[in-house]
Amino acid sequence: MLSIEDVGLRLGRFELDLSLDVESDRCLALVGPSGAGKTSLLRSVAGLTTPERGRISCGRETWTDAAAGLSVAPERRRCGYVFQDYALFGHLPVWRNVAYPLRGAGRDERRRLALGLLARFGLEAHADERPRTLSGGERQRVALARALALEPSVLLLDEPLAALDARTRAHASRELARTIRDAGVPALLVTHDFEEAAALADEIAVVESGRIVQRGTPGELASRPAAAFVADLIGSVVLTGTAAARADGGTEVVLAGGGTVISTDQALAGPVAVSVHPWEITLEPPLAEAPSSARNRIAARVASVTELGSRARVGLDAAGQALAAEVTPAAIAELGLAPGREVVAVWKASATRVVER
Amino acid sequence: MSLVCSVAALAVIVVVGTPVAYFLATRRFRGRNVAITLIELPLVLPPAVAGLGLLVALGPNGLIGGWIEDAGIQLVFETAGVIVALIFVASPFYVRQAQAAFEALEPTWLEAARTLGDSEPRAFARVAIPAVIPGLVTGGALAWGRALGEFGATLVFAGSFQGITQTAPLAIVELYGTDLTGALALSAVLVGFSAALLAAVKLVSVGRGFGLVVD
Repeated sequence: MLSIEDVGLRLGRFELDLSLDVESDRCLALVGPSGAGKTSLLRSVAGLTTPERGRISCGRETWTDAAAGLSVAPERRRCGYVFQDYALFGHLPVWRNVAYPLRGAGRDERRRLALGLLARFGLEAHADERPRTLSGGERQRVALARALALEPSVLLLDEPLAALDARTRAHASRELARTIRDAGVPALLVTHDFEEAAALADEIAVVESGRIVQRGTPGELASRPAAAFVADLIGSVVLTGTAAARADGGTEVVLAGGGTVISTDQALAGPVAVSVHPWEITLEPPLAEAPSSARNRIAARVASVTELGSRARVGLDAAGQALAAEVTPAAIAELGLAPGREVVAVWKASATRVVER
Repeated sequence: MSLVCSVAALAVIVVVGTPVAYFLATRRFRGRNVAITLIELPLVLPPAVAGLGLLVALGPNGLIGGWIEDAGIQLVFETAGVIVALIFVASPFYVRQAQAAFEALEPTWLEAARTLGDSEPRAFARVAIPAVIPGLVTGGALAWGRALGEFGATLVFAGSFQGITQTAPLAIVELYGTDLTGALALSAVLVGFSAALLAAVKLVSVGRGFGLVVD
């Protein structure tokens, strides 16, 4: 388990002051605006900088203890660090990059191990090329393979999907989530993108002004944001379910926990994630109106109401999953929206995105 | 003669210029721009003027020259003087290339190497040096080429006495007056050598994807 206690960092005008811990096998995403010191925290965990105060330990090893003046050198910490720009060594071919942390084995053995890791990521064909010939997504996978070759005790990821274009990002996101899960070590990820965090992490900690404002699963944050800042951060809502193709070309998804939604997207049958923007959702009182093929209607209970200036974010629980709708303050009054109120969330099938899980 | 002097000059340039280039590339300090301008000065000075400047500074009646002579070192009209002149005109070619090479080195590379298990010196040896060497070699080749072709400063500062300070370019000029064929032959050798050097540099830099720093 990775433990960060009362760590204080000062960087220019910003000050970071937080404690958190990450269990083995779990991934925690630290979400906050750029420049808030999230990268500095990662660097402190890796031993590249020393915080002004606090303790950082992994399992039974204490890595940093500011009060005692202790800071274990980075090379002794075994942190698999995936840098934002990947930091691949340009003068070495891909396989040598991946083999870099391997010690005590002959060249042939190291190459064999490196190729094995590259094969896991589908990159063995590029083993002898230089990093600059690879695409962004491929370089990200090489950086990941290199970090894993270390057999790290902690995984640190700095905005892992930020440098990828939108099309690559969806695919890379799924693969990365699976890799993080399979790694079996505590993983700490920082990003300014809530959706990236929701896709990759088990839990999210939102940082504002240097402090953790809320920590929970993506669903908890969506339906019960502790502050307007958190509510504002949340982008699309994500529901999970199982898909089946429809005769008219769209997809019907049976949600885990009950309820059905229709999407105009085409998707393969099987486990999927359904997403819709909160501002596409309107709320209605629970009248008995059957769902049409053009609109989805899901019964939900209001969990929270957060004002955000000219709009309001309403967190909802729907059959065990979390939803969020963005409505006008007028609608809040009209519908008498308050925690506990039963409503129906309505949105168009064409506004519903379906993605394989 | 040319070869010996230019190689000696090159050795001094590399030994002194490499740390200088590293500092210029990686540190920001007050007077950095002044330092860069001073280093690049020889690039724009007409060679004869450069030679004159050296004379003024280092000649027996010059600014520091008096001390140097007292120390028993004779520069003007001596071989050592040639080497000094070559150092003066050729060093910018090396320092600028080396500086560019150090600037191209990403600091995150060294940090990545540390997280992957290297101590600081090991990271430097395994990552920084191999990444930078092609640029240093290119700079060295350019400086050497420039030193070989140097003429004006050498003439003014060290004279053109055969066997002592007469480098190839100076010999060419002298022969030009009396033995044209000889002059042309020597010129051809020099041109051929310089062309080969430039071609080699181009091939190496293209192969590594390393750009040449040209004015």
